[in-house]
Amino acid sequence: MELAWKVEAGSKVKLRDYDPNYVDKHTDPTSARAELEVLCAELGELQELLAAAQYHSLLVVLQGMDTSGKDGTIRHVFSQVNPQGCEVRSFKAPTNREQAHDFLWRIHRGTPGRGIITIFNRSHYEDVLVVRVHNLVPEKVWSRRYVAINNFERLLAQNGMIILKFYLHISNEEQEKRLLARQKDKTKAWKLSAADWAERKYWGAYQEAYEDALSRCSTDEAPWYIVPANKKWSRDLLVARTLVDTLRQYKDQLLDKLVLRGEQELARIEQIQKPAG
Amino acid sequence: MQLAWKVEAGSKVKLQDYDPDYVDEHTDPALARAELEIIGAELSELQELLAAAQHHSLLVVLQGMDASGKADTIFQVLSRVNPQGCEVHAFKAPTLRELAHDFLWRVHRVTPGRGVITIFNRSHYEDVLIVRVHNLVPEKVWSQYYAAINDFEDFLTQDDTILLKFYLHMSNEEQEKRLLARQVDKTDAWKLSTADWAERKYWDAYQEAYEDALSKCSTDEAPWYIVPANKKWYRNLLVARTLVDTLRPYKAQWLDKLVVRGKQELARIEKMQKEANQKPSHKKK
Repeated sequence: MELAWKVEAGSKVKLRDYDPNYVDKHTDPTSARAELEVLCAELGELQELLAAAQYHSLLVVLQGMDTSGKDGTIRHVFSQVNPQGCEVRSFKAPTNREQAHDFLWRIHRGTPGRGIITIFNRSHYEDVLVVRVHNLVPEKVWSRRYVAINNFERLLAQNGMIILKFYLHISNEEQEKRLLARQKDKTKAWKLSAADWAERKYWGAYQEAYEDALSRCSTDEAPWYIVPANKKWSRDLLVARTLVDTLRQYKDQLLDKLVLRGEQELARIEQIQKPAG
Repeated sequence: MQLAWKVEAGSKVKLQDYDPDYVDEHTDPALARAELEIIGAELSELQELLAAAQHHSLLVVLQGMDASGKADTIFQVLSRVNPQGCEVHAFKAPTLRELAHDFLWRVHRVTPGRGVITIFNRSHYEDVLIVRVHNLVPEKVWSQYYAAINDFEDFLTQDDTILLKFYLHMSNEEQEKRLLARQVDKTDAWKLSTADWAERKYWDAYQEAYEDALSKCSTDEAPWYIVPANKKWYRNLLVARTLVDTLRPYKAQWLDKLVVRGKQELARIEKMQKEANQKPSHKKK
């Protein structure tokens, strides 16, 4: 089963080496949709285990250029997950209050507690992407952030958080196509922003910033995955497969933990029910 | 001017080398009280500058055994500071919600924003103190915390947080005296807890845990200070002196920043007024 492309810790990413049009030859849109259904159901089951075991949490970071399909991915992949144990957080331009703090302050607040899945639609990586491309802080400041991010993610992982980061990789041409399509479709025009076209001028700078973020912040405990995202059906499938593949490895452990929790509760109940004296 | 004893980065602290009864020979309680008044006023001025400059923030961590005077130090040293720019956070046993997260989660939420002073009455250091002494998590876990704390504090100071950490150093005998005094004084008895006496049995384990925290987590950016705390008046004086001594070097910088902020606002107002004058009024048409 082909997964999204994992960026090995310490490797140097060149995005032009990754084909955004790639689809694996064993799938087509129809078989992909069927497979996605099955994977989503399994993801739903795994989430129930995660919630019951109350030990691990799951953080999914989604990044990608405008129109790369972050929202669509969330909608399709997490459609069968119980919303009670799943939170989505979108990180827009920081508020005044957020800006009065370090860049990880608002992020740390939004991290998942044990048993919870949290999806970041954009994330702390914006502080080495848009912030870097537009010089919103001096290079001296943003260049220190890669290490700060790695330290932060290590802290989270040491506390039992499973972290996966997906970069939705679309081509410049595909973005143009999608923006033009949105302009034509009146029901999609609400997604547009004049900033989208303005940002396209910085395409090269963004790709470079992404290459640095992927290269410097992919670690064993919090790996980056590159997802070829020109084909939406393939993008969703690869994200779902990678998630399920990662969580499956924890299944036994999660089962053990929830059995243990059950035993503890049973012991407590027995204690209460035991006749006094 | 005698300050609290700074723990140099990388040094190995043995608490028995520090005398909790220490007072310097130039002060006595009356002098100390007078000096504290003056320092308190200066601290208040410095805080106004800090708040106006909107560049740095100040985080003060207070740690010490039960009855070492953390709450009283806050009251005596910071009572003249404008409460609008000053927050105190006391960290008790974590709630269920807090326990669901990493140990720095609840701490990071309440770090000061620019222009704000925050005092931690107990802190993330409890996770390498009580948690370690009572094996609340395995050693494998708490032993990772020191590096995590250093990374975290280094990160905060990079973002222009001025960070000072005070360990209020009191002797075992002094603690016993204070606990007994609380039992005698009905107006002080509310501060008591049976846990205080139970915890005294772990005195040595706590001292050892403090030695490790002070040794491993004192850095140039976020130093630990040991405060001889058997004498309350002297403890307050040293904390106040150390605070003011740390903040004073920033004074010129804050003045510059607030002048710049003022100029920017004035320029904006001028521009606005100019535009208002140029626009023909619709009403008069």
